Amino acid sequence: MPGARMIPRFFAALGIDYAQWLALTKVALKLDWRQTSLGGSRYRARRGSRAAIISQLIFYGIFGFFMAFVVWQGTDVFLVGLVLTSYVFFIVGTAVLIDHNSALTSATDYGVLAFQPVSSRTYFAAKLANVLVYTLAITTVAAFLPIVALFVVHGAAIGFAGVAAIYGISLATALGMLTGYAWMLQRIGADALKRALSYVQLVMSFAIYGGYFLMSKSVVSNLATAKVQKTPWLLLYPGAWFSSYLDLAAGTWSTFDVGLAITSLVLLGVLAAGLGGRLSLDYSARLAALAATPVKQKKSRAARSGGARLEWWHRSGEARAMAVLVRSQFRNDQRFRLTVLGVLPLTLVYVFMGVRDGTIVDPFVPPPAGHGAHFSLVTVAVLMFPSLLKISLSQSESFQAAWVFFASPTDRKRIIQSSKNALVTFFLLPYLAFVAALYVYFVHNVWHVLLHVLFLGLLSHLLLQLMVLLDPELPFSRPWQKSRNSGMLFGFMMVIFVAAALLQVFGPEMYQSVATIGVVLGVLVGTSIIVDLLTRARIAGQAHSLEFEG
Amino acid sequence: MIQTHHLSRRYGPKLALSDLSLRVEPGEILGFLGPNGAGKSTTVKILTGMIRPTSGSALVGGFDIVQQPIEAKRKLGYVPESAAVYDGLTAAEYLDLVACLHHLDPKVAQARRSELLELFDLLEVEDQRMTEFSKGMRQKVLLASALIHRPEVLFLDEPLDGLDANAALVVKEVLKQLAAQGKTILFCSHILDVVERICTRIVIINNGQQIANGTSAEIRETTGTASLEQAFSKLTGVKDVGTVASEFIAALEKA
Repeated sequence: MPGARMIPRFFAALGIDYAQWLALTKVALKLDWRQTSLGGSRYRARRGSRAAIISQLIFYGIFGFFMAFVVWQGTDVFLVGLVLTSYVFFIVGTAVLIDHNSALTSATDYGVLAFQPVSSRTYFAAKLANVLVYTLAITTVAAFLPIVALFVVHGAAIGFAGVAAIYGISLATALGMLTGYAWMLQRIGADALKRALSYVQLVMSFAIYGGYFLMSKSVVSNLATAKVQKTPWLLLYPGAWFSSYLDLAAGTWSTFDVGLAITSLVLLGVLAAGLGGRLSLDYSARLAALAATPVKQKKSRAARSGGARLEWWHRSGEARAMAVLVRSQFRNDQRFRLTVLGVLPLTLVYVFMGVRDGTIVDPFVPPPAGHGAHFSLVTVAVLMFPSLLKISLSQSESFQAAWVFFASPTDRKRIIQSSKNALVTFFLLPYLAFVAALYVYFVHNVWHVLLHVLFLGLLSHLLLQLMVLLDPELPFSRPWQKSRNSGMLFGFMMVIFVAAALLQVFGPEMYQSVATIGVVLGVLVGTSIIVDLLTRARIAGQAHSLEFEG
Repeated sequence: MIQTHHLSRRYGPKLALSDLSLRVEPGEILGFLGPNGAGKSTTVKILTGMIRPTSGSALVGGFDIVQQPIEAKRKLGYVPESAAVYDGLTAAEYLDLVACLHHLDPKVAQARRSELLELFDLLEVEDQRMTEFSKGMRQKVLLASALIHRPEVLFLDEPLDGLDANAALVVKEVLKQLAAQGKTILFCSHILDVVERICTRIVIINNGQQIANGTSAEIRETTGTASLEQAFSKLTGVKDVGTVASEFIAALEKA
């Protein structure tokens, strides 16, 4: 068949060995599939977690259902497009940040492939194909219902334009972020590479979450009027460029829309050309440098006195071990660090949005009559932060080192509880201090703030305990599983939003008297103790069946 | 053929390999020895194209490993010390991948895969994922993957690690026969009696520098020792092993 011969020739023109590319892509997808529960890996077999993927489908389905509802209600097709592209931008951006941040820097690939006759272009093309298969699959699942709604409500022309816009923004988001990672790998010396990748991760996280929330705020305010004000600011937002396809298809376009559409095509062209240039990158040498170069760490005064502090704060041997492990994994495990840095900006963006919306108010003062309770994103941020970190705490590329928990006379309950406590010590408490300072600045009543922050802290800790109860895994003891973290993150965020909304409604009632405050705090502490006991019982029950997975 | 010319490699301020010049002819099995951190793995990584030398050059199978890496890599087979494999694949799938990367005809690849798996007693478990494999079984898969494309040059870093006695015997015999066919083999190991038995020549490096080059008998004679083990200890500056052991036990008891 002439077509069959065309493909290898096309790849050869790009400097890619088609046979090798195909073999590497198939193997990468096969390995990813087998790491998921449906692939039947022995790592997850005992957990019966076929539910992991099914729950992701459900979460994406629920999100998709809401989006389909917006499409159904929307009359301004540009606004509808903006909602959909923002939604896909967020979903794909988060998936790349959380699940594919190390796609271009796999130490395993280096060990297996660096001595094989595979060119850097072929290797890079295979990695690119792997990430794009994932992001386009996620896009398909997440956007299926809105696309159906688009076809039904607005007709075929707008439906196809919507498909182009959705896949266009998905492709642009993934390619843009991969270009960022590749650019960094190419430009930065090996000694600074690990640190530089962290900064890139932070910047991209802020861009994805910040861009999404600013845009969603704008979309929500526009939904009331059902019409988008096409200001020059929209030129700054890639989602708007792709949304213009819908206006073009509807025949309601202006010169502004044409400009946006052309910009979107230029963006895709620039990204494709940019990645084409990156294809010449010598990955073998770069990966070797990354693998061989330790992160230079200045021994600070805090680090020198850290040993004594650890002994004072973490009394048992297990607790001290976990404190050291979590801290050092954050410094040295590139994947864990990038995942944490992919989550951190989300909480800071929420705080920023809370400040911007004026929802940091005295929680003891009820809202004025006729006004609903303020929904505070700061509350959401405090509740979700430690639990989001817990999601990635049990996975590591060096999971085989977890034999030490099985072969040493350690108390498994203490290990798991201590890893949770390390999250509280290193992440939750500093974050609460930051939030308390912010509240004091806006509210001025220190006692109200301290009580409110205490309440939020206890609640956040309780949620973290519930996460541990649901998934009482030893830290860093499981292999990484693609798409698991982002899927759990989306699901957990939904739960937190519901909890935060309830809190805003009942919060002022709770703060009405000392008695109610006492009762609520007492209930929180009591529940926390019960959950702790349940967790201990669950871990003890599991101890007989848990085995080392390396 | 393997040839290096003033090969050096620096990791930051540390000189891991210094001015190494050696030549391994076809049909030769070169034993490459040195204490931990001497620069053996660095040398092998340079020669297999995994890292670049800071200075100097190296030819593998007639190709410059820095200037013509793909051509050189087509000529070499490698068993890494790290035993890195995609362990989510089965043994058969992994060998198919390697065959594909070397552009072997699928029928040829399948025939060689079966031969090699049979040789290493893995045919019955060829469809089992390597996550289930023991260290020795993985090592056998790595050996098979290093041989499937019939390379001219073989780099073996601790190839007998984890192998049972029977498999180790087979591997040693295979290496001898490959050398007889004219293959060039560089053999890194800490098991000195194995090196002594199968290698035609031995190079010892320490602190990144070559400190001995010759047959086992020549090295023993030069150092005035009775065994390769003693020669190695003398050349690499290890104190009397009895003293070291006593100091170690004393330190343990003190703690």
